[in-house]
Amino acid sequence: MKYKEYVVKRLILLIPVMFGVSLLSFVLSNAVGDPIASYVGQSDDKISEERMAQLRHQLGLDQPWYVQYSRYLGRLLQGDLGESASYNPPLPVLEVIVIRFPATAELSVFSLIIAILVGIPLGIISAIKKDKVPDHMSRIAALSGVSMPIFWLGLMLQVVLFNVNNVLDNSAIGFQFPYHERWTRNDYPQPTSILFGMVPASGFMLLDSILFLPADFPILDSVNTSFLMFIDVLLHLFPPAFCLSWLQMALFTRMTRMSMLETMRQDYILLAKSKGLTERIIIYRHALRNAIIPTLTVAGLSLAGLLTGTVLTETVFSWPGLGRWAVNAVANLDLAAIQGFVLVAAILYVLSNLGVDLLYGFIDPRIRYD
Amino acid sequence: MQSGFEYDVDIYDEEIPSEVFSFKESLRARFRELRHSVSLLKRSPLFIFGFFTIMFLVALAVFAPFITNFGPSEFAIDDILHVNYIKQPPGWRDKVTKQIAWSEINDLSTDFGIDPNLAVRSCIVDLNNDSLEDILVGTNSSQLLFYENIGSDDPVNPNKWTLSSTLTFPTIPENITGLVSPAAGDINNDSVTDVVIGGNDGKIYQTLNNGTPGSPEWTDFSLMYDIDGEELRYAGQAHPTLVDYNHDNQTDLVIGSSDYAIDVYLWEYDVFQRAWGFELQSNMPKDIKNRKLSLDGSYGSGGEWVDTPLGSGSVRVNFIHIKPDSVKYWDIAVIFDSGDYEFFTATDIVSNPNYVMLDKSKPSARFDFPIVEAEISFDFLFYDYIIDVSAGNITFETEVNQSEFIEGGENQTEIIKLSRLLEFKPGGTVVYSFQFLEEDGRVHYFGTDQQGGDIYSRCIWALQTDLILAIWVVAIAVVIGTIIGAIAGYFGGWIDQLIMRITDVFFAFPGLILAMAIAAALGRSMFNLSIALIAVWWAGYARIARGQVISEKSRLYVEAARAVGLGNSRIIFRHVLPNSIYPLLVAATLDLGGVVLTAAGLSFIGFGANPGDAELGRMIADGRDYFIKSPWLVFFPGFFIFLIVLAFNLIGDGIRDVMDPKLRR
Repeated sequence: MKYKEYVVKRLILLIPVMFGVSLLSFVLSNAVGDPIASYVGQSDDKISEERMAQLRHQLGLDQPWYVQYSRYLGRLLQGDLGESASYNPPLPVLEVIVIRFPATAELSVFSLIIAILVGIPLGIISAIKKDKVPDHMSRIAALSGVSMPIFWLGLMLQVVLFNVNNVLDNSAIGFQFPYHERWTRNDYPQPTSILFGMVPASGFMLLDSILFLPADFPILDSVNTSFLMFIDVLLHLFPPAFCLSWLQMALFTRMTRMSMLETMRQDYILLAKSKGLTERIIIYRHALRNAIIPTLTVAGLSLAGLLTGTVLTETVFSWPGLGRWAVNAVANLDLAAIQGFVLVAAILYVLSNLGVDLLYGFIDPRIRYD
Repeated sequence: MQSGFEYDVDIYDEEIPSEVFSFKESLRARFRELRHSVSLLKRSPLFIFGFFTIMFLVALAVFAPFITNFGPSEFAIDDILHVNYIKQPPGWRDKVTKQIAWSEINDLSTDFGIDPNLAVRSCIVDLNNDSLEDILVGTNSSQLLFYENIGSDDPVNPNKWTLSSTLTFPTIPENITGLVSPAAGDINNDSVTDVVIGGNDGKIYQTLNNGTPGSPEWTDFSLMYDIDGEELRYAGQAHPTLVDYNHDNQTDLVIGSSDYAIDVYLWEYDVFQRAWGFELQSNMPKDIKNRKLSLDGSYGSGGEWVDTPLGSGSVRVNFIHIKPDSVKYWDIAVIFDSGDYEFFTATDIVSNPNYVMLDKSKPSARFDFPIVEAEISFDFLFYDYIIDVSAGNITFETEVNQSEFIEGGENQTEIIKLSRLLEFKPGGTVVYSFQFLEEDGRVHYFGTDQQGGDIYSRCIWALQTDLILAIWVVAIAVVIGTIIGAIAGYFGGWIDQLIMRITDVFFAFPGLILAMAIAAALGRSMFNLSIALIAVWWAGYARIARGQVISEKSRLYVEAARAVGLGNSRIIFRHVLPNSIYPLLVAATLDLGGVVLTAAGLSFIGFGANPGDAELGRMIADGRDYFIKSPWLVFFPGFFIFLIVLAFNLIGDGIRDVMDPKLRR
């Protein structure tokens, strides 16, 4: 099978999967409870039975499930995911996702960068010094990363930061990790930017803060304000991102180690050795380039896998992203929100898996597809 | 892995049982391989570490009843219903045995120096307003003695009383020739304590203090009258008690007398009005205001209430308020001259008409005095003191409602009223003892949580819960996944396609999010959590099983089995699956850690275990409100999760290394 055919086949297979995903999310969210009850809430003005029946009829809830499902599918194709009732007033789910996605994405990407920057060198060291002390150390670090409950790590991190802050407070260094909420551009009265006039907020706080540059200040003050805001955002981003990156870091370390070990056994490495090249050149010029491909590919996959981590991490760190919204939605029986979140998570996950598979085949032509 | 395949049986021989075709033959080669793998594993230090950690954790879980001090489900008496027992979650601190202990008996006879021939009747009052409890003692030689407290209020260093010479009372009326029964209280509402005595002439006399507590000016003893102008008069010895009976901040008068009668006079319209009374005649439970009152009797051996005749003589009533005033309950002790005494905890009170409802059918309505022995014509006094246990990080409740939570926003203050007991025995003996909080000596290795639960015990019980959950989930997921996967692989075609598309759908979700959605749909319970986890994990096993079955089904022995005419299900379950079970088992071992991690994560965000349940993730969630100042609430449960998952991962790593032929060289 050629690569092109493989791509086409994978894309076609996507259709039943997405169909199944929508069906499953429909079934799951309809099993949660009476949809009307969740919207009426526990308010004192009790709704009469006739009104309930009327509402049920209006919303088509008295129809058989397949009619409801096909309607749901139709709305879905128009991009209508319903309204999230846990917002007051209710907001369209898609809008909520758009509002909240940047926070989650920023956290995920930042933690992915940390994981790559720490994990891959650790893996290389581990492979070079196989069965020696650095190898054991990095393997234990990697294993602890895989084994550690992410929410526990987050809470312990907060305890550590709290105590570090106490020490910093006593030592008069003049620096503390911030307890306050992240500074946003709304904290400043002049939202006009020097650079672009009115720069729209993208939701990515790192970007927003560095491009803030309020216009009504002197230029140095303006830059300084933006910089301070950027640092503040970074300080706020670091603990949850570190917590989230721990697991990915462990995975990358393992992966790099495995592929490095495998690459080092290849014939061309033997050839390079017999040519008399130094070990340094062999490792960094010959082995690493080939060994790092699978790791980087896996990194793409883990971006979607990070969604799982963000549910817990955002809960622990009160991060205003998708994961926390989902947990709140379940607590509030917010059906549309649950449906929307599960669907978005599944789509992201499926697409990134697909991308990784295709990329893998593209990078490594030796892979055959049967 | 396996080269060649020998069959030295004649497959057309019908005499040969089907077991010949079973997996044993092909397993012989695999068994050799397995032995080799185990010998490799034995050399892997990480695997050994993981293996022994798991063995250790499993041992902890199995021997949990023997190594924990608390749990798995302790019982406590419901404070309100008294008889209902609430099952507490594992590790909950025992509420019944760890409670009040009585101090040793201190003999204060020399301090008091009461003539051994005298019988006394005492009352307790802070007469000189120094917030230390003083004692008034009336003797049967018509004396009224005042013992001033010169000790301290520290419960450990007991009070010390000495006969006061500075404070003198007016002369006792000459009608009284025997026992003087004193009572003290502010009867004219001038915020200065006055004194009332009951004499053996059956009359009640009062003296008012018109001065200050420091320099009293007593009026002469005068007779007390009721609202009709009749003098208060009883048949024999009268024992007055002053108490704010109906909680209207005005002192009321309760009189016990020798005809087993207790009369309650309420202070209304500046005069004592007889509100009601009840008679305590032996063997005659009285129905007072439609309330059964049976004060005479005792509990039999079977725990049932048996009416027994009381001794003869007068009745004294001591009111103590074990319950705080906010609850408006009085507890009373009734003492008879015979030495019998009964103690009643009021369980209900109605403001108008005022009466205590004494329901002796409830076990906690009876109060046991561990150190009071009934003796003829003895007298005892209780009074309470308050300690605040919220500061000392003690969680404490007793069967007899001696503690009260005072709700103050989020900061709950818990105060406990403990009792001190002063006992006047015949022969001039006076003994004193007090209650104190006793720890029962069980150690909290990891500290206690916000409810007073022992974290160490809870961790061990939660470890058991989580391990059982993980094994249960993986076992069922393996069974379901294997059956479905084997069917898909064996039959192929559209069945295979359908099943694989279904597994694709399950693989399309991140595990935790799928489990979260399913758990949310099913509702919060451990059972639903396990169903959600099974739903997440089965698809993986289905895929492995399918791959194995596809590779096995072209083998010769499957052909042979089909040739002898075995049915599909028999071929799948008796021949193919046993041969492909090995990689499934390895995968299952690898997944145990992941299941524990996901289960804990779900419990943490509120699915699965209920608050207070001993489940590791739930314990972390419960401790989250306090973890900055008390990190141990969160640290230990999380560390146990970490240990479990780490151990499983180490084992999995070891197995994977051994299984991987490339790394084997």
